[in-house]
Amino acid sequence: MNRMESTAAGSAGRGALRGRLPADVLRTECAPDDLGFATTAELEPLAGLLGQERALRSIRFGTAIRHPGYNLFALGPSESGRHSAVLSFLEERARSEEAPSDWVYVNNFDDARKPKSLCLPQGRAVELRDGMRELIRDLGLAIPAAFESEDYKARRRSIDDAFEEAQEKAFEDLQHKAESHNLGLLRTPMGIALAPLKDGKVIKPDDFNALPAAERQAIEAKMAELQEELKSVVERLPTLEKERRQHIREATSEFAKSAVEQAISQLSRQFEGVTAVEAYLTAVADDLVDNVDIFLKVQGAREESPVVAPDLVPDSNPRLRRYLVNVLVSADERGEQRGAPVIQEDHPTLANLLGRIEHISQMGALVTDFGLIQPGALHKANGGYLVIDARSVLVQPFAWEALKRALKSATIGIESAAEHLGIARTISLEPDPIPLSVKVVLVGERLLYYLLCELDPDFQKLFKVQVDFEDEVVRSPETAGLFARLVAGTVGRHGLKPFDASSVARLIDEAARMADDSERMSLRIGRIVDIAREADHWASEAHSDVVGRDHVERAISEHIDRADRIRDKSHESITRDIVLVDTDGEKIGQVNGLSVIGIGDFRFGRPTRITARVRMGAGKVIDIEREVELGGPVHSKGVLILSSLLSARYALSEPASLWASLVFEQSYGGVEGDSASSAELYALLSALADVPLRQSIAVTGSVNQMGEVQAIGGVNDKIEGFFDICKARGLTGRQGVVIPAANVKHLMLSPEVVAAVKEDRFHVYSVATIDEGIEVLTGRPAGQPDGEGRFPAGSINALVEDKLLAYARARRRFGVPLGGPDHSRLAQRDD
Amino acid sequence: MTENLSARGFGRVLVALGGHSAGAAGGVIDLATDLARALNVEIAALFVEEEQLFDLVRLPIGAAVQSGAREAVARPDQLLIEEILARQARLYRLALARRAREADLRWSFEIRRGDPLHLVQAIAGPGDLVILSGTMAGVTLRSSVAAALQAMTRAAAVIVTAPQQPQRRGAIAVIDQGGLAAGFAELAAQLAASLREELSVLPLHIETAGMAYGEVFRGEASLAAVKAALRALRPRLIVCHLADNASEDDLQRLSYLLRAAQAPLLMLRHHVDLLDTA
Repeated sequence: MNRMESTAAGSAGRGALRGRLPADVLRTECAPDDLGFATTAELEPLAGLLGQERALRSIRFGTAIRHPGYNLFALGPSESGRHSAVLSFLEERARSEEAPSDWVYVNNFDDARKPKSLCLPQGRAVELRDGMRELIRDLGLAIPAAFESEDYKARRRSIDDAFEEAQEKAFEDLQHKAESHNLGLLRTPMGIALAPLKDGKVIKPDDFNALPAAERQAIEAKMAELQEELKSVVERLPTLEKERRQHIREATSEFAKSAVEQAISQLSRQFEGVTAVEAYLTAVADDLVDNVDIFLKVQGAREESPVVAPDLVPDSNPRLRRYLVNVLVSADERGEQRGAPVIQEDHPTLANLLGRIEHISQMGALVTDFGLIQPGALHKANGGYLVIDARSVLVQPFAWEALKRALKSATIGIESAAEHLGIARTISLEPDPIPLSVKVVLVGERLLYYLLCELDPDFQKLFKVQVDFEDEVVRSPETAGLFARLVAGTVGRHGLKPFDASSVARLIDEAARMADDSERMSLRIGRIVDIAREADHWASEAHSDVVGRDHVERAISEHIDRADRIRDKSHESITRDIVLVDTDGEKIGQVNGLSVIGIGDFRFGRPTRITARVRMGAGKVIDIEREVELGGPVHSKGVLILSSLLSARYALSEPASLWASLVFEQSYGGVEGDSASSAELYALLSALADVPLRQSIAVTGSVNQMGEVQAIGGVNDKIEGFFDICKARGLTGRQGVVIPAANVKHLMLSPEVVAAVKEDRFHVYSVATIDEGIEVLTGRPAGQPDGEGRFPAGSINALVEDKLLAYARARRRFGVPLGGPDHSRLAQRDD
Repeated sequence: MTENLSARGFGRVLVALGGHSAGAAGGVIDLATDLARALNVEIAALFVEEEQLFDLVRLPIGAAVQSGAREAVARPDQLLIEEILARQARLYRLALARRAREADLRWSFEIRRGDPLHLVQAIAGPGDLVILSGTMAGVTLRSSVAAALQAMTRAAAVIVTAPQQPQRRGAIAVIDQGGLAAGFAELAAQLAASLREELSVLPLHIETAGMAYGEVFRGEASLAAVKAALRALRPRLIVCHLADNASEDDLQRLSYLLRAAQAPLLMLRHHVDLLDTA
């Protein structure tokens, strides 16, 4: 076996290391002593964000600029702490800003279907609501008292007396007149009748008929005359009654007005200068006078209660609800929160954003009024900030469009999803829209941001400020110190035990591993916090007052253990030879590629056998994965690149006469990415050169047309995946992985792999070119072309070229002009 | 208490009902049953189909004038009148049966056609308390009171009701015209106690100016003062006593009070010594 010794290229650092890598470059660990503290208890918690200077600048700009459309979209990976960072920043900023005005909805006395919105100075909405309740209570006493007063009774009696006397006098006059003509008035079931009398009684018909005709005619004429008068009297009765009612109404109105004006005067003085409230109270006073009977009818209920009867509470009395004040938003109701509001809406449905109009069931019908208008997040955040998860608002029906409409129109109009869908046709309300002045901060993944930019023409007009959170931060002594303070902050916020320096160092190492980069730290703060909390748990289990490295280690390993059932099954299928992967010996046209499988938040590497078969042909490399549509476009691109590399590197003077096929053996799912393209090329070169490849070595890396090996992702998982299989079968000291040289800086391998390398039981090779890689895999020189382009005899490249030339020559023998292959075969037979 | 009252001579409450006061039917029946229970006597109802109505129908002339009807003036129709009266009689009977059952009273209900006053006078005895509905015998209150006064020639006492619905609750007001008959005030007081109502005595002296119960009343002014007091009091029943030969002035005065108070007026004769009839 030809071992390549590693060589460092001076200041180029780890990225320039080639060949077999020493153990110390496989993992860069943070030294606890370098952190400069014993436990996090000594540290000042980090107030701001780690490594998010760009995002912070954006937030500052976005919240400070006061023009429409400058809403914010905080984009970045999940668990990066975007939500809490944004909230924390906004809350800090909002504290120094002025609290917004209060808003209430009140009845529109002209059109109850269109409730009016009133804007009040901050904190005064509740005062108005309570004042109105008090007013109604007062009127519950004052109005009945006014109508029970002697003044009112006397006024009412004089009206009634005048009416009754007028009515009685009209009948008495008529009766006297009738009696003077021996006629009488008689009340009958059909009305009042006139009749001729005899001895004070209605004359008997026989007696009447016995009267002389002239007398009968005279009686009849007189009756006709008096009947007209009777008719006139009777016809005047409704008019008299109408006049009586009108006089009573006037008296009632006069007394009610006096009582209402007296009762409302205090409230009017309280809100003097608040124009909207002044106008409202004027309308209330007029309406109270018009509807004074409400208070007179509830009087009985009031008397039964020593305090205030529930009937006089506007909330519970349907007839008094018109005087409710529905406080939509008020500084008073925000409790401890001072300054501008910062609202986080976790469930941004249409109703939760814009508010909703609730209904109550009365006699089987759904009814509503202005008192049932409920505020939405936009109402609560008006004058401040609203933080919404972008994905949540996008998946809620009508919510995204409604939010955009509100921002565009700068008003909040309540909409109902049922009306949008056309499934509700109940009479509802049309409340006054409320002016909107809010900064909306959407928080979401990058993909969402870019999709919205691409697909929604309104998006960039409404969300002009991009707050882009970094995924990772450069790993340096300074950032390590900040990271330690971040841990100290987590300890404080979550009430954890202090972390010692070794445990913080281990967290820093884990952050680097999460970033898949020894020179960077991941900013997936959520995951770091999870590990910290779990480490605290294990420290408690161990009765330790301080969280140590072992506890962090256990938190990480337990997390992996909970998640790695699928990995175990996958590796087991290889170690039981169900999935064929050799980890020793040599094979022609066969190599171990490496892939990464991600399930949920867990990723692991896994070797896959890649094979190549060759024969003479028309210069085509068949990618079987692509042929069966299991290969993705990037994978296909890699195969085409290596096909091109072959054509451009070997037997340049001859037409390409190779037919080759490549396949990922026992791969039944899709294959994507080009990280196996170097492995595929090694298999192909092996097949062409008839030189076996070491099966104890797995390969990863993509290749370009020039034969350079390029960086790939998930290098640590891939190496560990192959290591796990080898370990299960027994480490032989011959096993290892070939990785691109550009990935060396990403190495943050597990301590177990590092130890195996240190003990020479496993190896990691770094290669920059295909030639370097094939030498590791075959143990033979790749061979560099001489001045005439010829490869040294016996080298891999020379063997490949010889095979391709042989194919070309053989193919030439089949060559037939213009007839196609069938003609040529016929011609050969004829020969 | 009720035994005492009964012992003073009231043996029955006779309530005469006409076909014109259906609106106040419930109230008149309530008043009659309450008083019958207070006096612990039976109750007899007489529904009178006034003969005059049918005489009117048979006359070749005359028409009834009705407020608010489609045809303001219409010839009285016998079938229609009979139908209305029959319906009203059924309503009265039902109301009486229900109230009497609740009060555990003996009761009877009779329908007769004729002159109401003649019928009442024919039926009423010296121990009867007669109740006449306010508009039975005429259009005006004055005519109602006149009818009541005639009925008193036979009965111990007569109540005439105003056209309005009598109140279920309210004070018992006594009109004291000076020289209260023996036992008169006591009867009013015991009625009030039995009905669990307040008793209020309102002095009224028309013939001679003078001092009565600490207040001075003079002529018509005193009548107006009593009227105002009655309006304020809103009594359930007004009790007053009359001389045997009531004058035209009495008639006017009582009509005036009946209209002012809008409450039933219980009239007792001077010469009836209720205590002695025991």
